[in-house]
Amino acid sequence: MGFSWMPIVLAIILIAITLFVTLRVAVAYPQVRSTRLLTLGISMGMIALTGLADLLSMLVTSVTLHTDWFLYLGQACACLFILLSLLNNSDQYLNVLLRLQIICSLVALCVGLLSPILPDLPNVGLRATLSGSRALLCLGIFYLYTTALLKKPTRFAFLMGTAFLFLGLGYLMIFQKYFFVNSLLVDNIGDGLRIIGLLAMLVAVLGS
Amino acid sequence: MSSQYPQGRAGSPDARRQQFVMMNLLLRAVAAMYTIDELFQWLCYAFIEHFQIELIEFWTPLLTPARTSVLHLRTMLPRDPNLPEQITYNEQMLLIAQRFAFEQRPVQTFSIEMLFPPQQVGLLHQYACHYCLGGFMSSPVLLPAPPATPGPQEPLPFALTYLFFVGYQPQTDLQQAITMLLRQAIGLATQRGLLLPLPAPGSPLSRPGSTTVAAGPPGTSTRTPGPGPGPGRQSQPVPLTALIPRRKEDAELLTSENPFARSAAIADKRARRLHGAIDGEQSIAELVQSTGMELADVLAALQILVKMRRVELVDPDGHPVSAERLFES
Repeated sequence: MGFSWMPIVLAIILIAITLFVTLRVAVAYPQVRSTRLLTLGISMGMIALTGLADLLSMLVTSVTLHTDWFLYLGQACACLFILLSLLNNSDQYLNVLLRLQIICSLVALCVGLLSPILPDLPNVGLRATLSGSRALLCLGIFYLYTTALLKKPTRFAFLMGTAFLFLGLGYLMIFQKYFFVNSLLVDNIGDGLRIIGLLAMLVAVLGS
Repeated sequence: MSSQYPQGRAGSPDARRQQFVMMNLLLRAVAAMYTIDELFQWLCYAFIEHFQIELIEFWTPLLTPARTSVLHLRTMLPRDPNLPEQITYNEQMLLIAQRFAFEQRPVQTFSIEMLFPPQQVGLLHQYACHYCLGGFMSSPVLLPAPPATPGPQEPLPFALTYLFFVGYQPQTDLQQAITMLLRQAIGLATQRGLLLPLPAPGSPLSRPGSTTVAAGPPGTSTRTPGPGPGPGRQSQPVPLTALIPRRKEDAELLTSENPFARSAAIADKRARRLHGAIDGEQSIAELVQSTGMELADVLAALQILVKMRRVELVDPDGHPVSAERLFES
């Protein structure tokens, strides 16, 4: 009775959109040559992989996969580097950041590959902290886009700001499920908000 | 030597085009030079070929055994090897060089009649020397003493007085090309170590009041200030090719501007190639060599990248340089 299609739908949408953004970056990067864009591409690729791992853990029942480590760490890592890439324009800074991101992403991937043997997250506190960090990071990115929007109102800044606002709010809703009894409703609302956020990002990336 | 250079057109050559061609050749040639005199020689040959100059003279200061600095004909090259030396190197020529050294203007043009007595004018006209472009250039570096000269061999602050004799009426673009190329050459010579760095503060050459002396006619001398900072002296601009391009991220890319939009792409192939080669350490001259691109292509690519806010320019000390400077030159 407790089974919900919402997480599966969300995971599929998440994978599809983030993978699309990653491919779009891969196509655009040789022309644009922007380190910041590359950071976005790697982050989106990482989120796509976390979504895939999450989907697998839901669908594969023969093996117990503890993908939550990879899910939370990978997504937090991806959001953190997007946030950091928007803070400074220096080429040197962005290059260092890119190297750091590659290292962190590889570590997160290793954690993902170790999912079958890793233990489950030990307590709700840690789970809430890891999950909640994504909300803070997304809202941080939303803040930066809002600042950019106030400086120069553009459709792209508006859509990206909207995307990260809804993603942040979605993660914030999910954060609450660890402290409420009716967690499924909160979870579904959170997933719904994240789907809106992802769709806003898709529209932003599609526009040229 | 002459086969290395394309033959210029009759009359005034396309100075701007020739400037680019000669600059490209210079960038390659300077790598094989080990003395400043080789560079002066090369410049003479190149100027004669590219700009149809009839006679070139480079005058620099020289320390005499009595430790006074006199103006010395360092390099001279006539287009016509039959041009007699009594026309090219005489008391009047020294006086004219001293005048340009004294006035310290980058470049001035005179008809021969305004500078030489009638008898000499006739001789110069016979060898198609109808106009004289002369100027002065200094730089905060030291010029090694010419080889095999008597007297002290210590280097002097760099000061170059140049005389160019041409058969056609020189236009402004020729003047600009000459000054620009000489400035670039001095910059490259400094980078290559053909000119020496100034001594540390406190050493005799850097002391306030240290001067070089440009000798006047025998028995007289005029004092000119040294290259250090002082009243009336402007700082020497860094040559264009010594500037270092550094990549930077467009502040608005991915915040306000859509990176997937066509306008965000570096559409020009040369610009993409140059962007990939820029490492924040190589100067424009070094980039020309390392990429094998022509200087004109590098500059065109840089212009695109600067406009896209993807590149900034800094001088060798790391100070930002206004990008407009690039396009002015």
